[in-house]
Amino acid sequence: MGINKKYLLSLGVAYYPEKEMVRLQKQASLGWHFVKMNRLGFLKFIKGDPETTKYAVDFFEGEPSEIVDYLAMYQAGGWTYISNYKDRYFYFKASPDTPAIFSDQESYQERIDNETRYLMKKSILLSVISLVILAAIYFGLGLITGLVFIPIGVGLTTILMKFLYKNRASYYNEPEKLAKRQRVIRDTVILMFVGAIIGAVIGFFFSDIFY
Amino acid sequence: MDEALTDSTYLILLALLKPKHGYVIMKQIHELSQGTFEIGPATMYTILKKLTKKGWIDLEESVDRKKIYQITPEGRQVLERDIQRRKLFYQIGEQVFEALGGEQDGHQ
Repeated sequence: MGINKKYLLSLGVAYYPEKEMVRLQKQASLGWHFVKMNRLGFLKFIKGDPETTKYAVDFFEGEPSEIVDYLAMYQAGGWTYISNYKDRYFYFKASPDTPAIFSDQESYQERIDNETRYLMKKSILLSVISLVILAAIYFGLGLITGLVFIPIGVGLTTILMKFLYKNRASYYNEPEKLAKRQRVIRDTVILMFVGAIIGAVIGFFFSDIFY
Repeated sequence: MDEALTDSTYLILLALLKPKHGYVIMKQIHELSQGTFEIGPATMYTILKKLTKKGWIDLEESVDRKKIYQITPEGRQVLERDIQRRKLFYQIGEQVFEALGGEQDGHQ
């Protein structure tokens, strides 16, 4: 018996496909046949007879419905389909005298550009999602922290009101008189100012605990 | 002036004067060029996509859900212009060689 399968870490199919294919070829010559690349980026091989064969990997950006036709073209070109990675990277093998899967520079350049565009799009999407999560955590945490100190806010407002409108209760039968003295904007500004100072002090002393 | 067609695009458009599957195009190009020219599958796929986008060829879905490509009137025009261009270049080459041949004959 003995070990009949092994794994090797991929070099990165997006940036070193050429080198990776040479690696697969070398493994095949040693009797290790490439099976697939798994989700963690490991190449899986199974043990068999040594084989002289060459490999190719292509980036496919079409719809899943096009795959049948896509693979039929490879078959017509003498390439045997092995497996794919997430319907994007397709692996093939062929006898060493089979012409390469790309036959001119323009189309290979186009494939590289398509892949770059795809990777950029995917990375930007990931970045936006991360930003949303980060914002949710940051502002969410700030909001919750703020709620902890709500009694201070309410207490502070009460004290200020008592100070600004002394003997409020004595206006019980002539509220209009007190109404004339009430200045909403002025009070708000004062409260914001005092609130900012208290908030800064709290932030200064509690920042180590909350963040 | 339009850009010249690559050899691969030229042969694919020629093959699609009659509608056919992608993999049949590859076989026909092999025959058309008498085995001297091969288009790899990845190049074939990339060019078919590009020509579809340009409106030079289009797709019709067949019964077995395999895709059949065919040339459009615009694609046909582009192809005919490129044949003229290729003809011109061929003739220029012939003329230059003929002139050269005459000169050499004169020296003999």
